[in-house]
Amino acid sequence: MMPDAWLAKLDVYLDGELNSDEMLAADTHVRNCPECSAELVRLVHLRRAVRANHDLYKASPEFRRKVLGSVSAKTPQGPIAKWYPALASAVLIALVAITLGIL
Amino acid sequence: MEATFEELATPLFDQLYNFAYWLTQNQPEAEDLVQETYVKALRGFRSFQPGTNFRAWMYKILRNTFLTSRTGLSAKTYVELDSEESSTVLSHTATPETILIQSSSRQFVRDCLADLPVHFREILLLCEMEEMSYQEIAEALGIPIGTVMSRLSRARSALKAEMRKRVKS
Repeated sequence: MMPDAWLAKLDVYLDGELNSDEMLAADTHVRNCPECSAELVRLVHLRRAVRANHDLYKASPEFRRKVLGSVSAKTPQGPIAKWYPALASAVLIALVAITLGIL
Repeated sequence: MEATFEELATPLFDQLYNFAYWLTQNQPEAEDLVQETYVKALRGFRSFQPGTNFRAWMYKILRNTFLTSRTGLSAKTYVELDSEESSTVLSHTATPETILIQSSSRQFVRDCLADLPVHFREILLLCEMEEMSYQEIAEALGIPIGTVMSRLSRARSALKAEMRKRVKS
């Protein structure tokens, strides 16, 4: 493969998306080609610079609560959660009844 | 038992918000975008195939919602005017570029990224920040893997060119 063809594949190599044979061939080539190894270093630095901005923007706690609260309210609940209010009421009534000496 | 929408979607909230903000560059629009994404996704959750990639599915909804928004419509022209088939431009700049990138501040990189056309910005974010595979990116953006490769390469070249331009000016 010509050096330019390798240069064009360096992005894919860096991203780990070449197949295993191509990865091995690229490893060998990059070790022996100053131009490709220099370009790879540039790509690695560029990646680090972009990744340093990871999680830059964060939602406010209010907005987070608003959206996820709405999702939670609209998500169909499982069988236990569905019967939880009725179960809780029954337990409460039983406790009150015991306290009052009815049971 | 299959996971609920809430169980799948809640852990993605922060990264979706970050991505939305990068796309819109504006807090109120990012909030609208995230909210609309969750509403649409919840409504369409029955159409989601269990076992397929939920994260890519959510990003696809967010991105499609963005592209039909006012900001997205103006950004979309970049994609249509810019041919995917144009040749890859590789930078052959020597060491000074590496030094520039290494020494650049977060703010500098942020400004350079923000100035990129949206189709370059989004693919860089998905690959570099969200660490998505090419397959996931292809699903999220609705493009073939070959296009992911070529667009990513051109996006990186565009980012380097933007950094050089800013340093010179």
